[in-house]
Amino acid sequence: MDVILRRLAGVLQYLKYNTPKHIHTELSALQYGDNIPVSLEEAEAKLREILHNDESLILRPLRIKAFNHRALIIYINGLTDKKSIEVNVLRPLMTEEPPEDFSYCTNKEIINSLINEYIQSLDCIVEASLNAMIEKLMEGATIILLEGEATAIIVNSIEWTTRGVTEPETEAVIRGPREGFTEDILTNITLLRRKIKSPKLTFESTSLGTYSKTCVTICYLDGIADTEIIKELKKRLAAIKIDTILESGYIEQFIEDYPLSPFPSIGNTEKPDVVIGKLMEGRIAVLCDGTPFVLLVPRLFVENIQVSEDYYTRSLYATTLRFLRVFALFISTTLPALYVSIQTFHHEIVPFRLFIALTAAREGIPFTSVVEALMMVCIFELLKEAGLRMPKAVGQAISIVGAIVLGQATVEAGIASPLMVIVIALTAISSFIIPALDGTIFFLRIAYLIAGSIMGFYGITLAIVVTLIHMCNIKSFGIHYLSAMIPIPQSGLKDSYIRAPLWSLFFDNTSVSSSGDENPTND
Amino acid sequence: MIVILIVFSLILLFLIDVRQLYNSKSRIVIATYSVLMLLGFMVLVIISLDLPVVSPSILIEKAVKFIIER
Amino acid sequence: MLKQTQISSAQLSILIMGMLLGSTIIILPGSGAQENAWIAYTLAWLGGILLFGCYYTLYRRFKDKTLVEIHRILLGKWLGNLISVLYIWYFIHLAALVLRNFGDYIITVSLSDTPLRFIIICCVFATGYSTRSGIETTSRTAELILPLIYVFQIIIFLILIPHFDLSNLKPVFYQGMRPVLRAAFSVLAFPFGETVVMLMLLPYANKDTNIKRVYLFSFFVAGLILLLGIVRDLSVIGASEIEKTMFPPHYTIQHLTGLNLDPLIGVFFFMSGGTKICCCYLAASIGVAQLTGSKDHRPFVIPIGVILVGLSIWVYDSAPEMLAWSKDIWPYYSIPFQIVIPLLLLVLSSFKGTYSKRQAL
Repeated sequence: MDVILRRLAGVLQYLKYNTPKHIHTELSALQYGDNIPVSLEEAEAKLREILHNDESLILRPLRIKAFNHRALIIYINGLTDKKSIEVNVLRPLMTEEPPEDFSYCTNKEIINSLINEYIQSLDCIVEASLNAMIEKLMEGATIILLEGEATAIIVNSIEWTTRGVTEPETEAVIRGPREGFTEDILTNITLLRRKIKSPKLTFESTSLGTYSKTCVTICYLDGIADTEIIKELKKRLAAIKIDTILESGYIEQFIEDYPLSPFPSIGNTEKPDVVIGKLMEGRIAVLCDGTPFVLLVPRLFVENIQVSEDYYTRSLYATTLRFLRVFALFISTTLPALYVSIQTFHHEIVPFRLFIALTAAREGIPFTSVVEALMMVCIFELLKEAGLRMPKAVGQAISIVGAIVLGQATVEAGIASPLMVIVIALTAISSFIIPALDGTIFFLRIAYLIAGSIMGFYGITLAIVVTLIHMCNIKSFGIHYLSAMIPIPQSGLKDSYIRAPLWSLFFDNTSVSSSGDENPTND
Repeated sequence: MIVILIVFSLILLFLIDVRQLYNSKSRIVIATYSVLMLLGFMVLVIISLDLPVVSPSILIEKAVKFIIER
Repeated sequence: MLKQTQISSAQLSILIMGMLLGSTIIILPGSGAQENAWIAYTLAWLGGILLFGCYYTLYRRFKDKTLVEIHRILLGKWLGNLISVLYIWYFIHLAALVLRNFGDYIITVSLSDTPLRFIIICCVFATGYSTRSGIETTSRTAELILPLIYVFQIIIFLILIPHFDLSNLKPVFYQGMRPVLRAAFSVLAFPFGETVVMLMLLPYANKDTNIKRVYLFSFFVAGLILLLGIVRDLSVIGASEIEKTMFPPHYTIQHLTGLNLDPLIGVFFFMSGGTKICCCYLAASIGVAQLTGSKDHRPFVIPIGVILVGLSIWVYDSAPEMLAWSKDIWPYYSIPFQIVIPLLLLVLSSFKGTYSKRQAL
């Protein structure tokens, strides 16, 4: 009995965020020892053993001319900027004459003097632990070991090839900056710093992933962001125990509030101006090394109908576009369901002539409306997925296959009615207007379709009401998901349903606050 | 049979609440829950098998008519 | 659910409006008075405001206490719990009636082949989910969908104006005052007196809401919409037709030429009826939770839901029986719950108040 209950509890835990109870123990293979070997031969042997005789581990012995002391430079080929090491480290160490008042120095004084006077590199620290040294070595730093000394000098000279700053493909705009994040976290942080030149823009880094040691940075505006949310976010990030973090999506799935809900409660974006806009409203960004997608916490439902371009265009047009997006959201989820339920149950609601057109279109189709609709929805999803994975060279074939074979031929063979193809095409086009909710819209569409085929309009209403109840239930990091839309904000609907002119929007500073959901928010 | 279907669905519904009841550690809550479930089960059985039990509305109607006509 | 979950005044007013609209959109109240139904309705409207005064005074005397707790304070533990159990039965019965209304409406009008049980199970599932999530979620959802009903009713009213035949509203008082008074009494019980359910939910409102204003506003708006509905029905189809049809507003809307909006009416009925069911369901769950001393009303949602499903099918055999019952028997059956016991509580509370003052002296 107890076992059954525990199994059940195990299933139900996926419904809401829980701090994970099973924490991986630190892998002992990642501990190499605390002390750096004192003799150079020993150090060389140990490093070769740890890195399994890797060919890209380069060990360059040298003699420091100034102190007549043996040293060893260690780096990993490919991760370091060799030119800067040669010019700034090797040249002064090998060519500088000993100082005039040279007397026998202790090793510590040698290291101090090296750092202060000889090594001409900007980023230079001393490290005494072997673990930290290996970590820095794997990150791409150059290590200088002295004979007989158990501390190492670490010179950060990382350079590797990254993709340049280009326009992001998933978020194209007509008007607005075309910069997008890259995979290097330093570039991303720089892109953000260029937009806000104030020390209040705070960055706090941790490293997640026991093997990948990915650098994850939290970014927020001190004074505007809510401290409760920051604390909660840090707590959840600290509870992540995983061996690699490849993409920010890993982090997102670890910290989100309702893993099984179709609505995402953490947003992501590829553009710096979007991030800065949301930071100014009090949200918090999570940057992850190795991916251009930046997470934004918390996320409300209104954001799905807001696009950054809204704020760069004029108020009237932006408001119209917002209504259009809400309309598109409604169509893309409910149009197939409405069509099927009108065909099956509610013939009387359409005017007579339209009804004749509907029936004539369905003449001779062997399937019921539901099966037809489900079939066409599936075909469309297949087309979409195939178009994504297909190499560009054969991309032309998709359009031919999709348009002619699956569209025209299906209708002419009498398997689907032309009206159904129109309905599904409209649905598909509307779903592209809101790319953020892609997965959600798919589930909702199927659910409403099935509900509409069972009980007609009442089924669709029931399904919509259940979705609304679910949306009213969800909280994203303590803030209700539907915060800005319901309850209707007392300061006016300036930014949710419509988009009022900019000079009236920036009156309020904070818009996202967890202290009191009844407080009107301005986003 | 339909009674088995009813029992099965009631057990499924019970499983949703089981964790909360287990943690509540209050006997009176569990007792009330069971009483209400049993009542519901009885009413469902009555309507599924069409047992000739008088429905409360008829009882109320009789009582009201009695009082009015007095 | 602790008393900290707060709903704002707008949400409270929407809940009350939902309670008032409820199933009265479909079943015309006051049809016993035939062409004077609108007079009966207005009288009941005023009577409802009086009743509200009584409930409000009771609420004011015991701030932040739901009805169950008031019973316990005033009547002592055993008698108070017994009366609370009776009230919980009343709320469940009310919810079952509205459910049955809804199911019957759908079966009669649109989906005639669907079994009644299935529709009721789906409806209870949706309202149960909403209730289980608490009063805040329920009021938010209601706030999202109820305003559509008003828009719809006003549009229908305006569109049907060409079909009005105002002579159907005359003659006034042809059969004297008695039928009008009887119809007014029945309208008072359904829907205006059913706001006794709100006595269970008022403590969850925000601290600084002006409940009197919220209540009167909802009364006014909902009452106006219903009055428009009655006038529209009487003017378009006349008193004799109303007697013959089961769902007069549905028959009225069929007079729209060219468009047939049957399913839409059902959809809007579901929204208002659903709010009413949710309120009664919530009141019953919170009542049971407070009776057993538990802070959380969530465990009791599912058993009460099961009872609702069974009860709503068991309680009537057919739709006309339901309509006749709601006109004739329901007013007398709800007298003790809506009028007698609250007045008794009011008297007792003032008596106890002076008694304790005397003791303090």
